[in-house]
Amino acid sequence: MARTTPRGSVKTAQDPSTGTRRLRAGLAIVLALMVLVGGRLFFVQGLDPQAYAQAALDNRLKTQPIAPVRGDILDSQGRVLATSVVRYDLVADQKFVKDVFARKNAEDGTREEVALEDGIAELAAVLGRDADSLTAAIVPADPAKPKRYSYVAKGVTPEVRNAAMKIGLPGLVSEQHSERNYPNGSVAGPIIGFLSAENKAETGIESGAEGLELSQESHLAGTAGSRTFEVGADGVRIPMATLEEIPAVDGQDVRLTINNDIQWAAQEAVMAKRNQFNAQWVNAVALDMKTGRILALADSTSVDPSDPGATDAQFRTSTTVTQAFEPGSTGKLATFAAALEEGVVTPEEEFSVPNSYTVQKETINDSLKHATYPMTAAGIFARSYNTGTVMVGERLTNEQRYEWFKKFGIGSKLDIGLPSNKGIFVPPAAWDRRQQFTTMFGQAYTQTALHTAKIFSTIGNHGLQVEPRLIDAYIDPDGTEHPVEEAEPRRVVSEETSEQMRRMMETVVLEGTAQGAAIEGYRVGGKTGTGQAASPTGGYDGHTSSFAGMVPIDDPQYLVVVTMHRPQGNWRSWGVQDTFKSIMSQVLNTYNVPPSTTEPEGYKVFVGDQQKYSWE
Amino acid sequence: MAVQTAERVHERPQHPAMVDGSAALAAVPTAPPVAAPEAPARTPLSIVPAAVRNRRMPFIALCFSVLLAALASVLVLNVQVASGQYELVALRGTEQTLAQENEALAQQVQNLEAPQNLAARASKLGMVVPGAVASIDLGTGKVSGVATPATEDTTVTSNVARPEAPQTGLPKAKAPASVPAAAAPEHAGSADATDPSGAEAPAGAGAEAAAREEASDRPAFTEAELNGGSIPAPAQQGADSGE
Repeated sequence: MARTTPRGSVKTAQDPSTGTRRLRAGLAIVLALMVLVGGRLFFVQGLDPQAYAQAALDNRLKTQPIAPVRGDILDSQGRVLATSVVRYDLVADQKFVKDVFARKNAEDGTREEVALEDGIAELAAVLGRDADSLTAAIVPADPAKPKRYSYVAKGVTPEVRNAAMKIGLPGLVSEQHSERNYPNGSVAGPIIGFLSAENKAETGIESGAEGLELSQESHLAGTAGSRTFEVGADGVRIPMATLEEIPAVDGQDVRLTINNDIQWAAQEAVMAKRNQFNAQWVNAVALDMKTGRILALADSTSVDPSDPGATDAQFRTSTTVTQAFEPGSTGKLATFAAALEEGVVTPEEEFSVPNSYTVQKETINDSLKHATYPMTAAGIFARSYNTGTVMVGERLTNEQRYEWFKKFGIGSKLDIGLPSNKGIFVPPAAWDRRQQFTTMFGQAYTQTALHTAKIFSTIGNHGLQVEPRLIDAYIDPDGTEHPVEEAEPRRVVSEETSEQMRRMMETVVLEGTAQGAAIEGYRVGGKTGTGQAASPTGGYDGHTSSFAGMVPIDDPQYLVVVTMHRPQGNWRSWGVQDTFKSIMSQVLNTYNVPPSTTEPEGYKVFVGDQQKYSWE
Repeated sequence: MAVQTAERVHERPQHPAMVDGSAALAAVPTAPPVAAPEAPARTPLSIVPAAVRNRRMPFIALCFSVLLAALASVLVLNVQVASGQYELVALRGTEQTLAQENEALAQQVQNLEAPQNLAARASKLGMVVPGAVASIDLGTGKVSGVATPATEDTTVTSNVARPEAPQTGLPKAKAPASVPAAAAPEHAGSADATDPSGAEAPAGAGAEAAAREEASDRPAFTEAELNGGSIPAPAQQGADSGE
């Protein structure tokens, strides 16, 4: 207005047009702005208001997965075999690394400046590492290209993590994860199995890779949950805003029938045996015969689940269920039980047993050369003569024996939750001329140590077959137990046959091949076996020596089977009876089995008064 | 409100439009004849504005005070919710610390319970594998079996490798700031407890507690909370967790 004063009249003439122009220009600008704002308002609020509101919400919303806690694996006494613990990874974001950083002094609460080197030195002390390797992980090699995610330390304990975070290094963050812990090392390792990080990238959670960790994955794993909440710009949760929490469902604990003490004692014993004969492997099965509960599955080479890579792949699973072998003389048990049950022989029936016996042009020899002896059927079993066994066995047809062997469980899968080998047992139609006789004494078919245990258990347990089992119960996170239902015992042979077979097994320990298996104070029965081990390239190139025994033989409760594969040295020195004895003693001790009160009652081995004949 | 009250009073005349708002001026010329008979009725009207003027100030004050009270209560509520949130975070932190501490202790127990470790410790104490046992039937008093004494040479074997002990505390390389300090006074404290002189005991216990506090993020607990243990019993939290 001031500049218009000198020329008053001109000013008044021009004023209205200038003012109007300005007014109009201003109005146009304001209108344009209003249209712009109005349009935007319409665009935001009119067209799709929900989407924008949602976008804003999404910006604030943060969803965190809640990882479920993997269930524990427990032994029969509730002792922990496998559990999960919290561990942290320390990760550096090199972008935030500064030469000097500030932090609150832990002691007096004052602000202090700390040089990066000093901070790293403190961290090195906390982690027990040298500062150079930490510097390499924390300080960017090329300042222009800092690594946003650089591992400083993996799997540190919460205590170490807390101490490390207290140093206050900028850019250092910790990430929590769960780590599986196996407090017993290699005890029961092949049963428990281990986890694998194979599909970890997908779910962020390790899953089972072997053993029960794999087969019980659905019970152990649980279901992940999530937590959704709104976060302000400063990263702090907005109180009173949306909160949605789907709780994680923790996995169930799995309680096994394994007794950790017996498992350990058995592993000690089989390792000692393996070392004695430099065998390929030695394993042992301990079984509660009445219930089928497996007390121990021991392997001479046992994987440590914390470090499965250190063990040969063959021994990352239990050989008691994965390794099938020709059982040898322990297989005579099935032949004799079938013959007794069919009524074609009695335990005290007399046989004249030569060293060599030829039938259908096939000559069967005994391992130790002996004179022809007048023996009872029980005596043949006790001294484990192949010739006599064929004399008994040939009274049954091939089909009869095949059916009986099938009933005992030979050649069928044993499902206890571990990868298992069902063995090879072909029907009689596929047998060659020699095979029909060799199957009588445990050759020409294969079974695992657990199969042996099942057959002995059935015949010893009054003829009642109880499926062996490894899993006792599933336990919910709230403590509710879901016991695994026991299968109904199935009668396979009569009580009478079982009683006769038990006496024959006792004769083996009293007078026969297993006198080393006797345990002071207890009546023991069992059967030895030495089978030829088939070579992978055909033919036989080794042996499998085994013993299966039960206590007390008048009403058997516990069974232990020890098997040694491909021992070195002289076959006559091979014996696993001492191993049986030490494991069985541990079982009897653990379960407070009182010593037997009845007298041993073996059968006569030889016909007539003379009961002592030379072994060769 | 005050205006309305006035209007209602004005309604009594037969021509309310003449005195109503801006129209009142226009009505003046024709109004007097009609308004004159009504004049005596106006006297009480003059009192009403006065009454209104008197009430105006306290009413505004009331409005303001209500507004202030509402704001204050919202503020207090917000502060409470926020502090509840902080308390929640602190309690979660305590819970986590204790759970982790518990987990570390459980791990130690499990490691000590491992059969290899038990056997090794038993061996160290001179224990051997027992001999044959005899048992007494309590019903009949009959003894079965013949007990034999254990012999010295039946020691347990140690073929199975012992499991690695869980890592406790910070790695050994650490400067003597926290962990060795935490471990050493602990032993000193327990030794003091058995010391008949007992004079040193409180000091030892105090040092132990101080060292523990220094060593971890563990919150401080009173004797009553710990009740003789190392972890406080679960407490009933108030309803102020602010969730």
